[in-house]
Amino acid sequence: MTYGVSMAHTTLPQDPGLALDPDAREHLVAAVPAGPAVLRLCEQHARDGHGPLTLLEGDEDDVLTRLADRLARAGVGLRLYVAGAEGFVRRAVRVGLDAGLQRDEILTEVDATAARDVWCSHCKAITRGVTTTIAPCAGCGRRLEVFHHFSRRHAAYMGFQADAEVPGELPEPEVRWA
Amino acid sequence: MGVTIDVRVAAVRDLGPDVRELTLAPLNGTPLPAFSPGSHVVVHVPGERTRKNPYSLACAPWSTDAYRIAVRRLDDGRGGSRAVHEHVREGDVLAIEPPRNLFAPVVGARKHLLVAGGIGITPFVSYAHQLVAAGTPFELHHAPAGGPLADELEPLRPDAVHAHADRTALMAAVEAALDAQPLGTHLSVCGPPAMMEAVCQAAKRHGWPGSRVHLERFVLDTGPMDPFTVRLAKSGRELAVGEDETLLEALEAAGADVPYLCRQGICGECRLDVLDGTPDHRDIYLTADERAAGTAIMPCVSRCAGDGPLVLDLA
Amino acid sequence: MSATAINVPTGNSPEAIARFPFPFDADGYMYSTNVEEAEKPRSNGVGEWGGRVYDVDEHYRFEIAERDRVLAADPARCQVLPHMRLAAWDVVEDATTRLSRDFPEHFSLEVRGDQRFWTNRLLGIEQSYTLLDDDTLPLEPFEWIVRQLQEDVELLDQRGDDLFFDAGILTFGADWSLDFDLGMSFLEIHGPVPRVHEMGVLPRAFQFLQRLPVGPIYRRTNWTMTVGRRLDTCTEVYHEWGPDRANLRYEEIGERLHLRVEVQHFVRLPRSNAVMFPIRTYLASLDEICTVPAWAVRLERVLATLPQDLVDYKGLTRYRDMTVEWLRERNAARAG
Repeated sequence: MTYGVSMAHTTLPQDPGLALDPDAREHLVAAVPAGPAVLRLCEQHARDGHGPLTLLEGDEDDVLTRLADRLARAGVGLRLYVAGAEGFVRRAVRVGLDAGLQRDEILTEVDATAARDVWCSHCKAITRGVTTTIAPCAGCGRRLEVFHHFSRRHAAYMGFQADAEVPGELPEPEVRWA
Repeated sequence: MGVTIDVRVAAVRDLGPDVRELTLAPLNGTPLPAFSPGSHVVVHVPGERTRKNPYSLACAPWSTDAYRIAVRRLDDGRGGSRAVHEHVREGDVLAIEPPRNLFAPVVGARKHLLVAGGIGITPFVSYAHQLVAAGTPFELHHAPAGGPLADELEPLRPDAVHAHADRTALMAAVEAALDAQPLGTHLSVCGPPAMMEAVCQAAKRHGWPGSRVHLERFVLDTGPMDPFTVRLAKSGRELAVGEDETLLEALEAAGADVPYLCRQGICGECRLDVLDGTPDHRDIYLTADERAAGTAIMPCVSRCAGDGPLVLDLA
Repeated sequence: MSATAINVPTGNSPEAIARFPFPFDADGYMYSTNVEEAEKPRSNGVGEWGGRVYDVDEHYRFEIAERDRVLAADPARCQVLPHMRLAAWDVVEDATTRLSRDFPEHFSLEVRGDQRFWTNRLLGIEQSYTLLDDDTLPLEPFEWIVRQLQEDVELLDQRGDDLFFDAGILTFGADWSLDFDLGMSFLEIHGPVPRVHEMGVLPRAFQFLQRLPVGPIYRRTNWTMTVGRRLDTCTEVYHEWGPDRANLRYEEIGERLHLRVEVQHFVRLPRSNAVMFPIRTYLASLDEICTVPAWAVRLERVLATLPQDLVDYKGLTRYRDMTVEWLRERNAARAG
């Protein structure tokens, strides 16, 4: 199913990396876990940033809730910086987009686990923390092939039944995102 | 390309010393097409030479009974606006091209911040009607006060329309407004180039990314259509390509059978070999190398750099 | 997400075969920006196709019922993001206007200012409504009209020098998912397609769509193959149609294997400035294809020379060689 496709042209998320945007009026940082990328960013801000910087870290659900609250009261000129685990980064980006930010107002860097969320084409459930190229769906149990197609709206990668054509005929799963 | 709508000038109204509003009604009673906010129509202005001038549609986008445009007289232009002021009268029949849109608002923006200088207010008339109908928040700042069309806009949503005495007052208000917009607001600007540049710079200073700032770009897609000559090498025939036709159209009129598909410069079907002369490439099919080599041309949109003759490998 | 047993459709009549949009102009196939002016009839060697943007044919009632069945099982196949309300009404106006003009025996539209009175004699629908007033229709407007079309319809919102897939219906898709792709940009949706980026095909198509004005309409074709006369081959139900790829037997090819052709149109909508992309899917079995000798010969050559990455992307891997052999046998017998 995946022959001949250039990885350069897929929908896979492009992470620009965390670097302070010198034009921004205000900087909002969300990181779960808070790691090297955030550290570098805060140091950069301390050195030559202007405009306030706020850091949200800690429990993921809590951070996402506080993020949504902050954004609901924010104005144009804000930049959002998101770092940490792959799954958290995508979910936080979605919160930002839902609040009215554009993708170019959000800077991202995955500097923790690359384990990803997978959307099941068949039952629509999201399976979290997938590290292998074939993984069981948390909703319907089908063994899903993790396809190189990503949706910002679902904050997940596409999965479809790996052995739909011949049940039981499956490639060996590889660990690819750890 | 080529399709026009005949309209009758139903009314002429002066909105100020230099600004004239024309109301254009369909000649044959068929409703005019509805359009999207920010659209313009290219008006074929009669005169010594027919000028094709674009004017924003300054009326509600569902105005199918009549269109309204506002023309500011420019004495240093190509003469189209002068011709409108000096020669167009109520009752005249004009040809206009169907509406096109190069300045559409971002649908789904949470709010619109609109900044207009002088006649630049015209595209925001259709914006304002649409946004009020949709219940979308907006804020319009314009200068000078009492300028054309302001009276029509103000009652649509009084607390949203702000008139300013002059450019200085306008810029002060814009600087303040730039710091006070909710996430998801988009900024649209229309006016003299210097004013648009000043607003752009201010937006950048206030942290607005370029993707949130939209400028009216009144550029017709393919650029000026100056006449030139063509020689068909295989027969020696010479043709004139006029300013109202594409190279492809001229070739077809002369009986040449050039294959084509899209007639938009993208599919590559009408490609012809150039033996001499310099093509003026306006397509998006040829590669940069092919353009530089100058030995091929897409006649549906491209022309000759200079008067020609452009020599083609045709009979 | 699995639906109850699908209705079994009938094949194509000779008249339908004569109108089939056979997509191959040459003995090989490669991606190109094969966009051409629409509404111009095109010869396929035995008849003509392509005179209309929305095509109503002998399969209408079956396909409408099939669409109903798919939507009942999976409503997420039809979605309209909130800012696409005006685009939805553009589609209602466009489709009702064209259908009443192109098929007056089946459809009528009376217009009085903002008021509309629509008749669909094939489905027994009579509906009066006010343009732009959602409350005057029994369903969300986009859904209301697409449930009367055989086409899948996708809507792209143009903003920020990009085009975003923000509304659509996809009940008859060729292995993709509307629910997953909704909200993506044009280039993102085509991410997984081999070659089209490097070849420049996609960037050209993208620029073309961005510049498309209201008025002139364009079209192109796309093709693949489907085992079984099955319209719903969306990714959501891959587990339903996937096994057929693996269990196709040589002697069944004529009856079960279908050439699947999409006729796609590109239309700029006037009030919303959105780009509308109706996609009409046609199926012809290989037996039906073989009723036109020139088609059988051309299809054999196209399949025999199709590069492996396209074979795999189009899902033909398991049966391409077998199918080439089947066609070769028939074509040789006819020639001999």
